[in-house]
Amino acid sequence: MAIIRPIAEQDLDQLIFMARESGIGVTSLPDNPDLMRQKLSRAVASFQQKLSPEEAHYIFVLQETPDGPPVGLCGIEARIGRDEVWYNYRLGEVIQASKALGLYRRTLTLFLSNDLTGATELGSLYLREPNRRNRNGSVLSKVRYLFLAAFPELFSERVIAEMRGYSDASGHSPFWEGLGRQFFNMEFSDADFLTGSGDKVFIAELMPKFPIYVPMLPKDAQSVIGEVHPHTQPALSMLEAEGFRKNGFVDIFDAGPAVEAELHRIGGVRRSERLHVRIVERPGSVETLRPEWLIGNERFATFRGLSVSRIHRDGPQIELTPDEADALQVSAGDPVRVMNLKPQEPQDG
Amino acid sequence: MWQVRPLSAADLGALEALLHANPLRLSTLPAVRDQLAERIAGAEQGFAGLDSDATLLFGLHDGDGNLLGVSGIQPFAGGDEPFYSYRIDELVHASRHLSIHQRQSVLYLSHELTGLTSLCSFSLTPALRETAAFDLLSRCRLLYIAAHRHAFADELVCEIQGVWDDDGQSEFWKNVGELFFGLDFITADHQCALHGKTVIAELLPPYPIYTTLLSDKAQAAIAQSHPGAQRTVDWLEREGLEKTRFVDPFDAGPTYRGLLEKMHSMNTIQPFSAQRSGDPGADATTWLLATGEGSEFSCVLAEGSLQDSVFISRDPGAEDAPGLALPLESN
Repeated sequence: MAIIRPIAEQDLDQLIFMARESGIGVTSLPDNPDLMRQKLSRAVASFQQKLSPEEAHYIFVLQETPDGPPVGLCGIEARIGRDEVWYNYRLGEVIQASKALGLYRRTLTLFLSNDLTGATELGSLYLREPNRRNRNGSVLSKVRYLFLAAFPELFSERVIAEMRGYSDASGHSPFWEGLGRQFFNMEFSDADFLTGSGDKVFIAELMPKFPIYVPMLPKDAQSVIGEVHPHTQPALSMLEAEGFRKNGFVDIFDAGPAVEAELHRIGGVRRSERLHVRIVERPGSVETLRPEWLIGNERFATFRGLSVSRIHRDGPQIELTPDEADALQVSAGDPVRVMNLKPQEPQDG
Repeated sequence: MWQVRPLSAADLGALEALLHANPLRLSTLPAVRDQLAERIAGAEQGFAGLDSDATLLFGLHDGDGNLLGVSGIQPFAGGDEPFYSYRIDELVHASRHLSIHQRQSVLYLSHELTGLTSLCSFSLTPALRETAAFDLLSRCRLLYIAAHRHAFADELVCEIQGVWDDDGQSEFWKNVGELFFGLDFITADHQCALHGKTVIAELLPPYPIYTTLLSDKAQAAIAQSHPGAQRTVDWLEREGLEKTRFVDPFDAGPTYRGLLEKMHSMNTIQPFSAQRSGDPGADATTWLLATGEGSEFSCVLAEGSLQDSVFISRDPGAEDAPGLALPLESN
């Protein structure tokens, strides 16, 4: 079983450690202790409701045992683009047509846009290498649906996630080389680091403001627009299975796609169910199977999520063992929200 | 003896042959007979004062009436349509925070030159390119403008052909227009000639172009004139026209621009009230002599001198007509 909870002050050292360990590519976790400290403070303040709901950035950590260290994290940014300008390229097209000349041509274009401002973003997903087991990655990603389902009024109906774009084995992004690099001479890894360091807006301001005609880019840059890094393909597939779709916006640096779903149409939100707790002794219920279910306690500042291999349901009630109830910090009669980890589409059966 | 006069329908066949022999294509004059007939008819209307927008076409003939060259004036660039250019501009992409400061060259579609008077359609048989016939055919247009000043704008532009490779293809077009039209340069140029440049230019990409995204060759071609046009460039510069930040939207050839009243030739043109055959004296020199108005306009080279606003010509058969004189060596 894995336990997910809001990040707390005492997690700072582990957060800094994970940021260092995550390396280039995990833009949201730059190796910069000061920034990590700020990130943590903001998340803690968010759960304490010291920030307005629009300013909130919620970070959750996963631990494999009730007293274990955090080994992964995930985040929900309540509204993007609130404190600094949020940039994407929007894929568009220009049509040139002339009946006289028998001409009809579509040209793909990239429009610099702030259109995703105000959306809720799922981000900051990271799981330590040794702990990539027991569906922990899936658990970390999907526990957020329980929180969204429990507190939809705190979020935008528009939920997005930005996927890491394609870069080759040596870390070169063909899109960056073909576009960003032309406008200022900086390595992708440096730009990426600055991005995570909160300097994305500075770089964005150096990017071309007029639309870019895609055919003017090198072929290899064109071919990766809207494509994800191979390592990110599983994450993309997981989001797509939950109803997220590419929404025509891509990252201005690596052209990785944004995916989007309406909050109430996210698969995990829709299939989650609110039940009430009954405590039942169930000796021998040792967790040996892979988790199939997530349970959340429907609380805000003291949110807890728990992954379990099976649930015992009795009508509107769910039977939890005392250990499970402890992990979720719930008592008999309390509401919880349960969600099958697997999307319900038959092909995922 | 060379003589410039308005092109007429009788010149049609000769004009087509002339354009075919010229390796420099003219996007304003297609080597297509029907089109040329239309252009000549239009020019005749213009000379007759019946169409103030018509492009005027002048023909250079030898003493036997053979057509040796053609040049044109579009009184108001674009006519009644917008005249398209790219304006080369710069944007500074800078961040104090990141200590970055970079200039970016950007091409903006522009109609700024619309309505200026444009010198165009110049084509001279190659054998005469290094002779005074070049001056006669180029500068006769300034004499025509001086004689019909009210019919033209105050500013002059001249688009110089850009860089084409040996196959007649333009690297700039390949990087810009071809992406949007799917037509190679020669085909597009031909379409321009058939349908008019504006019709094609209207299909150009509407947003500015960052030149840094073009190939090195295409970038190098921006505002570069074709080597074959060097004599025209030299002449325009001597006249006091300046290379602008405007380039042709098709091949990125440069555009020269200047105020008529500041042009060297315009300021050295002298009117004469009559011509006489006689001994012009020791200070005799070669002049461009223009006489007649509209359809009757004619321009020749003549040796002589101006004395009390009478042109004394060494030519025994000088016509006794008033006109304008411009010294050949004046620029």
